[in-house]
Amino acid sequence: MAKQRSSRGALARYLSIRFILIIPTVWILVTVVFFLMRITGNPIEAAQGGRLPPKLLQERIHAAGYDKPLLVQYWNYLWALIRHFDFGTTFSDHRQISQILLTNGAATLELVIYALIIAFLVGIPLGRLAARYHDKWGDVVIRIFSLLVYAAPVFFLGLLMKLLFTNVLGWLPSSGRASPDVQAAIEAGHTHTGFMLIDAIATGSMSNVVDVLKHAILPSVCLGLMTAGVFIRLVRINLLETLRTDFVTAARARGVKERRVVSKHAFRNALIPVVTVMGMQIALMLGGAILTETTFEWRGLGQVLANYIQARDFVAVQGIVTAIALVIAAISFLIDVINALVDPRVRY
Amino acid sequence: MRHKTNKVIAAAALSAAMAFTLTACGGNSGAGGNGGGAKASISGSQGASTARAAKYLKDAGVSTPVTLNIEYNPDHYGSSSDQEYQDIKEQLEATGLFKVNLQSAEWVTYNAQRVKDAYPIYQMGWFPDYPDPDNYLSVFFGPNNFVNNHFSDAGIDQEIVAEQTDTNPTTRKTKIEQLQNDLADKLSTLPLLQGKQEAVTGLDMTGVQDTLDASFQFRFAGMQKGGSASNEINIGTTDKVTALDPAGSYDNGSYLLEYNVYPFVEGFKPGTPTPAGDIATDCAFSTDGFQYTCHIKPGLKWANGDTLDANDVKFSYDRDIKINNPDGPSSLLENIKSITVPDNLTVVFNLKNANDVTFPQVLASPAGPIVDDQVFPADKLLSDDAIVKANAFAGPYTIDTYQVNNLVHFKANPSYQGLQGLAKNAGVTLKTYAEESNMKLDIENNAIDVAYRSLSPTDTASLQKNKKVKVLYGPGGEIRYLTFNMNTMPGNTPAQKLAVRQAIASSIDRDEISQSVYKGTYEPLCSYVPDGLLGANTAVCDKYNK
Amino acid sequence: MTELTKRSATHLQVEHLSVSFQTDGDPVRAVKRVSFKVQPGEILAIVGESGSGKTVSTRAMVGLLPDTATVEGSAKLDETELIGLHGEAMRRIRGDRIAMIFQEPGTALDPVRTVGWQICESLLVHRKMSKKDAMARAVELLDLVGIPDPEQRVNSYPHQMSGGQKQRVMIAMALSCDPEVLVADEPTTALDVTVQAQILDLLHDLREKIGMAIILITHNMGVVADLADRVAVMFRGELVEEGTAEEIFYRPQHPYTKHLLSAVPHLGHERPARMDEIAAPAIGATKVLEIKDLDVRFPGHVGSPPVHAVAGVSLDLYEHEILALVGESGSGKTTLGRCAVGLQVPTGGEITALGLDIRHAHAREMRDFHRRVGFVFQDPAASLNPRLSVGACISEPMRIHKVGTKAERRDRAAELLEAVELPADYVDRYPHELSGGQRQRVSLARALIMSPELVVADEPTSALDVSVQARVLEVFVRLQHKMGFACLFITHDLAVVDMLADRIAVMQSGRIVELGTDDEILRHPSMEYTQALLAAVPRPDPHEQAALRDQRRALRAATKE
Repeated sequence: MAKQRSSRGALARYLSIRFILIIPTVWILVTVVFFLMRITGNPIEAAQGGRLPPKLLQERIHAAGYDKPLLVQYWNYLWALIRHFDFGTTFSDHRQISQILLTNGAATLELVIYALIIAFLVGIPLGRLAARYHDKWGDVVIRIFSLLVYAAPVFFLGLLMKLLFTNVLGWLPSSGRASPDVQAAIEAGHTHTGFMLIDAIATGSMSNVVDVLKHAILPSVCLGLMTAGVFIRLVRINLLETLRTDFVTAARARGVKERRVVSKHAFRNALIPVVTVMGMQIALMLGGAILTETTFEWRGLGQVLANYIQARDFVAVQGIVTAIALVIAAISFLIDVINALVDPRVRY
Repeated sequence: MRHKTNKVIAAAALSAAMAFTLTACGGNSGAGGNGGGAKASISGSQGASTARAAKYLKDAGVSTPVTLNIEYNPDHYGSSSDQEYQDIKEQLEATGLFKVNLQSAEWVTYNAQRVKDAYPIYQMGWFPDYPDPDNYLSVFFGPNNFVNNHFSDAGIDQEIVAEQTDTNPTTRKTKIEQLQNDLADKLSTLPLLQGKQEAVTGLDMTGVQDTLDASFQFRFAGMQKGGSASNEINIGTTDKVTALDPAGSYDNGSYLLEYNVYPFVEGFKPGTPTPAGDIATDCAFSTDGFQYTCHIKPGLKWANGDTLDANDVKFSYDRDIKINNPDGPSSLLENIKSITVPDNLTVVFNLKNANDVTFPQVLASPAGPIVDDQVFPADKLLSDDAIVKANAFAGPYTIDTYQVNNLVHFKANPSYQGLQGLAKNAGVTLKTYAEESNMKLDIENNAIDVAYRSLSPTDTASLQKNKKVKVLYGPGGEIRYLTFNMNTMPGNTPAQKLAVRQAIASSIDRDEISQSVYKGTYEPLCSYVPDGLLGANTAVCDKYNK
Repeated sequence: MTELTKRSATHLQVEHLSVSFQTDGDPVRAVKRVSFKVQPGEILAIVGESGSGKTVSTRAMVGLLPDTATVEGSAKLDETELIGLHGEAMRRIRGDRIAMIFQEPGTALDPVRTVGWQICESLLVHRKMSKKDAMARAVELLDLVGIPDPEQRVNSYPHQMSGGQKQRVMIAMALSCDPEVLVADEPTTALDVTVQAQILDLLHDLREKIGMAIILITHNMGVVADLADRVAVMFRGELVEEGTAEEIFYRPQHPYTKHLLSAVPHLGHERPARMDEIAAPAIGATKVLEIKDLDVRFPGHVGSPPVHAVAGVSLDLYEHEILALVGESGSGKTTLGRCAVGLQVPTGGEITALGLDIRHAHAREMRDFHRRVGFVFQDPAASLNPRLSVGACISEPMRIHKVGTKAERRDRAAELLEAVELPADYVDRYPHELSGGQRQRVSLARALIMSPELVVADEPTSALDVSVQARVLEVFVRLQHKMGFACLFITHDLAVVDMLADRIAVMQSGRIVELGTDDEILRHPSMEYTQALLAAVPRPDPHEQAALRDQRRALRAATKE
């Protein structure tokens, strides 16, 4: 099967090129973030200005090397990043940024994964239903729902859900990733992946796992629904578009059952643009996660980012923003992979 | 004691900065408007007197209305500042004597501009370094005070030195009262409100009220849940930790941890703002007052088994001074000339200035914690995780789980022999909240047992109606006041300027602000030293609001 | 080779079929009481221009119209009444008894499934068989429709195949269940002539081999002449004339049929006399356009080699001359045209147009140059700004070059409208109010408003119906005679070329393979490629076409050896 092999070779080449392209992308991102942050002046002055006597301020600036030429600083930063994956140390509280990225990044990732699961579980079936009942009342109801969950600010939706599920019904905890004692028990355990659920499972206690899951529900649903709103509209519009294409008519003309026409032909084709937008949506989710995290006390990247911005700790902000950019670059690569798997035309 | 103040001031301002960022930053919606007649006042405040205010101005020949440019800061002293100053503006303008222009600036700008004489009249706030009246007097009114408002008065300076060096509490109290009476005449700042400590607890909690005392230290050891010492307690807070290393932190959040896990030479005797021996059996000034000698209890150990003795004490303060971290409290140790250890159980502090009555306070302040000389490096900070890993604790608790600004688990230390006594609980989980509203929800639903610092005034008001929790209050050290720049404030002569200050003082109704803006979570401050400390009185209200 | 059983004499009979669509206004009657029938082994061609209802009437039979359509009348397949049938019963008819081929093979195949998968699906929905057997059958079918290496191609995705191969796959799919009736809806319109010829041959062979009834929907009279036994002519939803191919081509009765036939450009016939009302200006000796060794490469996708669109082409265009550039899609003719007016920057060679070396000209020289050239695009709908009035569209070049006052521009636009034989008061209308032919005339007027000396027309009529095309070409030629511009006329349609070109250049894979006068190229081609191209053009004359088909076969046989 010579043809097959060459097509697989093309796919491998395509993906490796995409992968290599990550390097300049990330480099540009790191550079842009670095210089943008420095436009505002040196980080120490930003963080401590007005709180320290000028002499002390100068001493600290000198000690940290912020009086060196900008390009030298840039080179040092880049070199540390390449060699040790070292983003530096925060100013306001002297923590290793790479450590922050590991612990808080895992929390954000966990939240985003849950939210994505919710978004897919809600968004795709509802989008399909809406397309199927195009312009009928079912479609209208789903569209209004999608608009509402998308347009409602996270903190507002979060507040409503907290009021309902915590205050009125008392079913779910209002914030945090686990009850304090459960969290302490998990922390005392041996497994520390940063993923609370995995760590909870590792403690071997069912009640810990349930507690963690209960805490995850509200934030995941909150963030997930927002994204589901986008997914619904995306899936719906693309499915409708695909249902109007020739090959769908052609499939119908061959006597293919309607359900099969939708599931085997229209849906997969409709997914192609959806996958791309979904990738961008995940990037947006990281942004939405900031609000969700603060609303629900979810100790993720978003929340620490917000704190460091408030503290004017630009070294921390720079590190975190760079890390988020890295994740987005990785996601866009993943999207390319998925696209290549779904759409054979990509594997030219 | 004019020597000490300079450095202290920089650090104290920093500490105030930290404290205020994290206090009273509540949503506080729906609090606006005039609450009408104030009630439940604990002070001698009698409200505003327009007639007297008009008389001050008329006698000094100040033409009315006087235009006042008042500057305040909305992001540093809590989000209720907006409402507070709106209220003050309304009160002043209601007299018909003033025309008020309110302006606000973000903290970084604000703090830089105020020392450049940019603001004639402006808002300030203060949280003490230690609970001693002097910390509300010398740093505001002494030479080179941090308020930086060009106030200088030789008589006041003398009175401050006298009060600072009087080791007899009875006579010192009289001096402080007299000093405040004199300050009320000068009125270089106008005290407005004092904060209360508050904690919200579940109904099954005991011992929390006891720790809300004038020492302003939140001690976990005395608390108990469900009447059993084997129970653990969940405590929530919004205060953040800068560092667990005492040499690198000087803020409420860090000190909350430090006071519960590190030993002190002297700490506060529960229920009082008075220092007493913690690892020391006794401390005393030498006859000439230049030496302060403490004897350490024998046989003390760190939780990791290291010996705790006078060498650790010397090591800790030498280290603090050497590192001189700008986020740290080393400036409080300005009066130490040197430390000697004649034997392993005796430490001698050689002081630059004799009979410094605030020195024992300093030993119990954020500059006071003793650290393990086997674990900590002498010239640089140690990371939080390394401290926890080395188990370098000897307070009533040790920390076994530490997630910074998220979750800290304290385990009762069975070998603790200090001032606070053995913990009445098995351990404490301290949870740090980013959003006070979440802490409120959790205490409401009893997901935590205690909520401490800080809930918004509205949240506290609503929790007071909740039958599932108790809201507890105690004296607080935080004060809010108005500062006048002696050079740039309105008035052509010093006499006219004083008249304007006096007229403003007479026009303010503290009860009204306390009730309508702060729902009673701040109380009128009628003099300079807040309630609960030595020499506290009501000099300002007596003079202008009676 | 596979065996396909001849079927018994079932037939499809359509009677009084009417279709109307609900719209916001009054219902639109797309098909009005149409009746026809088709026998096994017979090819019925339904001809007519776009919107005449030919596609709608066939889709109505298999229930593939949108919900807004109302269908009345009867369509019987043997004894089965199709109208009103739906759900499972209709599904069993589709693909199994009535199969369809669509106009655009590119869009009618699911892009994310292999062709084998799609053929198997067609089989499995109607036949009980294992997937393995279905795959084997798919290979057989691909072989039947003339796909080389069917065992491997069965695993290809549509985008890996050429347009002609895709259409063969569509046909294979349609044949998979041995349908009684095959509806081929414009099966060759989107294809190049040579490919079209191959597909038509395939359909011809299949009819003879399998003996099913074929309904061929087309607007191309050449295709009709090539295949049809009987012809039905539709005009505005009505069937105006029906008869054998002989009858329709040689003895048309209805005026519309006659009009349709007269409008068809007929390769090899003399130019219609009326095109020469105004004497053509004599071709001068001045070179308006001089192209030397032109080379254009487009960078490929990352990792693939660059595309060599034009490879070393040299060409001269003289004053008042119409030079036709013909070739199949991808031959580089459009790229060449764009280079000539500076719309595309070449990667090598020299272009001198109107005395200007446009590869090395300054921006100001180019601006000046652009006043003196015109460009007519293929798709008038896309090239006219929908927000501008017709007058503004036409006078846009004047506005850009700051020529004349507002009133003068409007007058000039009106004048040009009359020149392209549209009412002058159309200046205030908007493009969407016009028909396709009218829009193309507007776009022509715009290209000519600055009285250009050089015009490049890129497939100006290929999006139009034949009768409309004839009108537009007529106008174009008349204006060229009047204004005397030199013209590079790009087209794939050799019959059109015959109507207007002085000289013809034939392009293949980025090169000019043959260049000569109209007569040399069209009637005495020397190159094999040109001959094949000419032989592939279907003539709108059954007899001539039959002869041509034999000639074509001979030619192909010769090439194969």
